[in-house]
Amino acid sequence: MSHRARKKVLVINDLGMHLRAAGALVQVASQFKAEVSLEHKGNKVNGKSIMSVLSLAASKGCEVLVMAEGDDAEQAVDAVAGLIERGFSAT
Amino acid sequence: MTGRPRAFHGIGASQGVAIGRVYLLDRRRVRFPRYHIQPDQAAYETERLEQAITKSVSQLELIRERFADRGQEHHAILEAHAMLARDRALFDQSTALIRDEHINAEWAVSQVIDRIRDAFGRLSDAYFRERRGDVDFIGERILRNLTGQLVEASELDRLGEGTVIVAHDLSPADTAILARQRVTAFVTEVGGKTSHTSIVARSLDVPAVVGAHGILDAAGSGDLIMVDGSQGTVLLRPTPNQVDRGRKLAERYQLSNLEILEAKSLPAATLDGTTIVVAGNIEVPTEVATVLNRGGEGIGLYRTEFLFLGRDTPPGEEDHYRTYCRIFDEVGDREVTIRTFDLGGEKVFGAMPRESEPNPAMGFRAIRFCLKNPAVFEPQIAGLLRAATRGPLRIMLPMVAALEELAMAKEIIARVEAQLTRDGKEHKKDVPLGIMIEVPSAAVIADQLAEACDFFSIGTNDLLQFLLAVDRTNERVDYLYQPLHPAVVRTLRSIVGPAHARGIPVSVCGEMAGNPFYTPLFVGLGMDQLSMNAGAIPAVKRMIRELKKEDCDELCGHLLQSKGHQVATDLIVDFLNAKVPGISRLWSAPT
Repeated sequence: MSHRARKKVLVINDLGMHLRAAGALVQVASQFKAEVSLEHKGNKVNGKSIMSVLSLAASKGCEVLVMAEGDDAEQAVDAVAGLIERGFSAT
Repeated sequence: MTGRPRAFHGIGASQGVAIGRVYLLDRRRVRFPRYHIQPDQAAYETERLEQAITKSVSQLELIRERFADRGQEHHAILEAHAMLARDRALFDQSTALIRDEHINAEWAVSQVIDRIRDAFGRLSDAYFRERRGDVDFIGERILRNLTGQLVEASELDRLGEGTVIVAHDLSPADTAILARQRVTAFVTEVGGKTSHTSIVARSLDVPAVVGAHGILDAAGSGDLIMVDGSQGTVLLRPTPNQVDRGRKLAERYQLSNLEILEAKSLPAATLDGTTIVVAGNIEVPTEVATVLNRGGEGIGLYRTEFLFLGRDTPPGEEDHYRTYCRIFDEVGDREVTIRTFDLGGEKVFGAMPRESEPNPAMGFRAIRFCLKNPAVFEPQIAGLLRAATRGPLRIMLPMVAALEELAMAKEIIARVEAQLTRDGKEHKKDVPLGIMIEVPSAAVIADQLAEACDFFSIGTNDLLQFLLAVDRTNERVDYLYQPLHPAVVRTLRSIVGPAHARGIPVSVCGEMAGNPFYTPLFVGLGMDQLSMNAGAIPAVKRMIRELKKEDCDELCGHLLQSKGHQVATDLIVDFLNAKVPGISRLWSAPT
């Protein structure tokens, strides 16, 4: 049975999930084998596609649900959710 | 070159004047073939697409490595563009169309790009909506690689000297490459003062005009072109007379290294010892370095509108605080005058445009807007009071027309200050508060206003427009825009007198301040500070050092009594020819 994980996070940085932030997110998500997806206002998109992540138009203050499915699902959700929670700054 | 001269009016995005040869960078829609394929050709088309994408990604990565070491920002944007190009969604959707609709790779990818850009176009947030521009740049690159029509680094890398880039718009990849070239000026059909091209041009200190509609269809590669980034005008194929005038204007901005060095190291003092502070006007913090490199002694006008643009909600206290601190990181202990928000709100925050005002220049904007919109004004004031702990900061209110406005602003400042104290946030009390004098009513009550604030800064552009009742952009009346009209000279005098009598300093921060032709007038009037765009600083400083205050006082007396703009202009021409004959190339008389 494959693992599933999910976590709700708040976008805190001023620019929201803008171009550079979306790029960083996709890079992090792509390090994992699990399928990563993001959901915002009923839209669910592939977390490894920068165009899809941008199309969420998640600005500051938005709530985003991070989900993953696969062997390393927990790690993937931790990494992606952590990045959003830090406002996309490096660790 | 043949062809008739043509003029274009756009937005002056970066100061200075340049003459050069057109290099056309046509980045509009790529032409490509569309045809149906046999089902068994699908694999071949998919492979072509895959190769074109791989090629696009490696090109973008190459550009990033070779050209984008300046600043993290550009580097990161190009990285994101490479990721957009290799996005699985783009590839998967395109190959599905090739397979199911039996169409060629170009047709498929262009359909998917259109679909994605339309989806972005429907987003309500202005920032995300504008990402369709990024999607377009990627689509264009992939299509050019598919059809083998790529204009690339190799070509842009070998531009001759005196090249003026003319384009519809420039992608971050283009500007990254061009930033390393000896580009003389930029002209684009779209864009505003805060677009990518404008910011790059200002940081490179080369003239730029954006929003020059229609120029791409009128210009040919190699055409002679004159770009005035101060006025926002472009002359295509100018006449020999126009070129002569342009060269003189251009020389003012292209000073020798020696003169720039001189401007940096010597104070702006007249021969008989009157010192005037020469400062810079900026729109973004990154311009500070250019001001200091050109010999600016502080920031006389920081226009904060840039902070507000391209967002749906006004910036918060932290946004303001951090941005202002960044300026102090660069200027050290030099004085910085920050003007509070100077626009109307609906233009800025992406809200639905309200009924448009019939006369916006005299409408609901600047201090009028701020006093009614605490959500915009209070965070800015809080950020300013906190940043004032970092260096000598002055707060300047735009468009003040009555004492009551100043009193109301002071009440708000006091309230914000009390809140900062309650919250235990470090901030400065009694930050100097001044006003822009740009409305005639304020000039008339300068004595009363001088009692109630700490400094004046004269915004000559609006003051002249309101005082002379002339819309400069209306070609039928622009001849009445007369900076030396005796009413203007007398009004300036009536502002300085009461201010000095009450011990408060006066600066000038409009366009006139950056024109060395008017420097003798300002010296004669006793201005304490002149603030201008970085490019003008060395010439104005040099002019001040050649003048005697005593002579300027006398000239000023004549200008106050002159019988009109033309007479006054001749007075200054004669004065400069007689008193400072050695630096005639630094100035030219306005027409």
